[in-house]
Amino acid sequence: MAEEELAEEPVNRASLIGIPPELFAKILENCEFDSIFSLRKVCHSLRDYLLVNKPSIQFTYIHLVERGSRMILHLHTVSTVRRIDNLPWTQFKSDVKLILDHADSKVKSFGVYLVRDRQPRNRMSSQLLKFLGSYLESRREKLQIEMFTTDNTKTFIPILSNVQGNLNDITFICIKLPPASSNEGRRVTRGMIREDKTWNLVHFPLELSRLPAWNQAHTFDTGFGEAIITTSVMLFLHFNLLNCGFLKITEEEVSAVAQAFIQNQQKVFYWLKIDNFANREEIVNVFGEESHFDAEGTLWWYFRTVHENRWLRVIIEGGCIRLDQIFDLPPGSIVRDFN
Amino acid sequence: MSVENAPVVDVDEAAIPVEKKMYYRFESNDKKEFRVSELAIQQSETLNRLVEAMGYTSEDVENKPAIAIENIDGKTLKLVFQWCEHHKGEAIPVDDGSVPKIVEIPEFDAKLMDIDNGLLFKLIWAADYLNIVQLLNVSCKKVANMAQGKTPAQLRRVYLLPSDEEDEAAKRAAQEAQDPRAREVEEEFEERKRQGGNSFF
Repeated sequence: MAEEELAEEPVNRASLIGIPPELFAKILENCEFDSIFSLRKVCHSLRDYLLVNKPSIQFTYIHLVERGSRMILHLHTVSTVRRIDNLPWTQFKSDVKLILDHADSKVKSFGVYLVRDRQPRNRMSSQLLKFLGSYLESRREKLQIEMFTTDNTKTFIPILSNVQGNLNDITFICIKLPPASSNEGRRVTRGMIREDKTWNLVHFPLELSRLPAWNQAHTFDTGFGEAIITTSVMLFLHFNLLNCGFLKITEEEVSAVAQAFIQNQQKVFYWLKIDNFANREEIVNVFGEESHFDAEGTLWWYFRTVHENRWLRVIIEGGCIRLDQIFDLPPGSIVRDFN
Repeated sequence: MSVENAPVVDVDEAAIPVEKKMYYRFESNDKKEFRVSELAIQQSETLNRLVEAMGYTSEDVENKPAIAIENIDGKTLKLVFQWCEHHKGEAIPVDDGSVPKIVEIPEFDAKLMDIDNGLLFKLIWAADYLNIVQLLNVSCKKVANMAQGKTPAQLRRVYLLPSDEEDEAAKRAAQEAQDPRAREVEEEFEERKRQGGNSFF
């Protein structure tokens, strides 16, 4: 019955501008982030309003990807997943800044994934890393420093900001900040890892500026063998954007990482260095290990992750240690108890 | 239109009361009257408090005058009460920001809100004024959805938003309306610049 009556009257085309501010804010709360991007470009007034009010965008995951000359944003909210492709650098940078500024939410993971080929190095990677470095630097006060060890804070930010263009072809860097319960000087112990259910397996305070030119492969001492640094960079920061409390990695997240490895199994991932562990014995002490030769005579090592029945497979080949994937231990494997 | 001659709209016509139900009468600012069930009223915190404060009983509710809602017109109020009747008895969501809010628009609501922008904005305003949490959520979501996948130019058309140029022109016009001399001064300044003067004074 409402429709009949409405049809009799001329259409009342009211402007959004006439809406009271508190209701306008409520509408913006419901807007997807790309709508907010578009709204910013409508007019100065709206842009100014959005800059000041920063409507919350409830992201759960933010992943930034550089793939050759293309920049890609993967944005996950509670209800949607968006992938924004082929962004020019300037727009990418402004969008990322906008997202980070507006993301008034507990982000489960914030990742940067850089993939490069053997082409002359694109400057975007270093721009992106510098940008993220300065962003993190600017938010240093907001990071809950008590959660960081002093050393970690010093190590972490230069990783992003000291990329000077002589860095090349890093295969895999995965940064996992230490568990919330850690404090300066305390080493990661088996008990803590198990208690916190955090995934400290990959934590690389790699000094990127020491690395040679991009077009050269480089061997890197892992402390328990050498790794070849080759074709891509993956930098994965697990932290909470606003509170920067350290996140506990859930079983689902481990599965997601495992899935990512499985999908990329044609690529080679190298395990470079594990900061929290001085040597292989310590890793083994924490995680336990199993190894066997496959039919082709390749020696595979399995390190137990903190999650029951999940194992990280590592291949040791030609003096390199390769992170392969996380998965269930193959049936019939014998697990030695190192306790 | 006088109150006596005003049509009484029963927004719960389909539901013939089996038991003795209590109906309240409300009147919009354009003198349209509505009969709304007690259960439906509970969706609105404002109306719920209002009828409680007035101390109506099932005996006297029909004899007392309709409760006037001064700020809302009949067309909007009708949509509001249709929504309340449809959703009566449903739990009212708590919006304390503790969990990320996922708003989904049910089919009935989507049809109800298939209206022009002006009425939709009025509905939002009414939902806020009457403190109907879920109606406010879905109506805001509806307006937000209108922006989905739109370019800035399309958004200007959808929401009737001004472009930068229109915005500037509106600001200038507002300034001039406040100070008619401002334009003259500006023109004089421009003229002097053209003549080579580097100082206005």
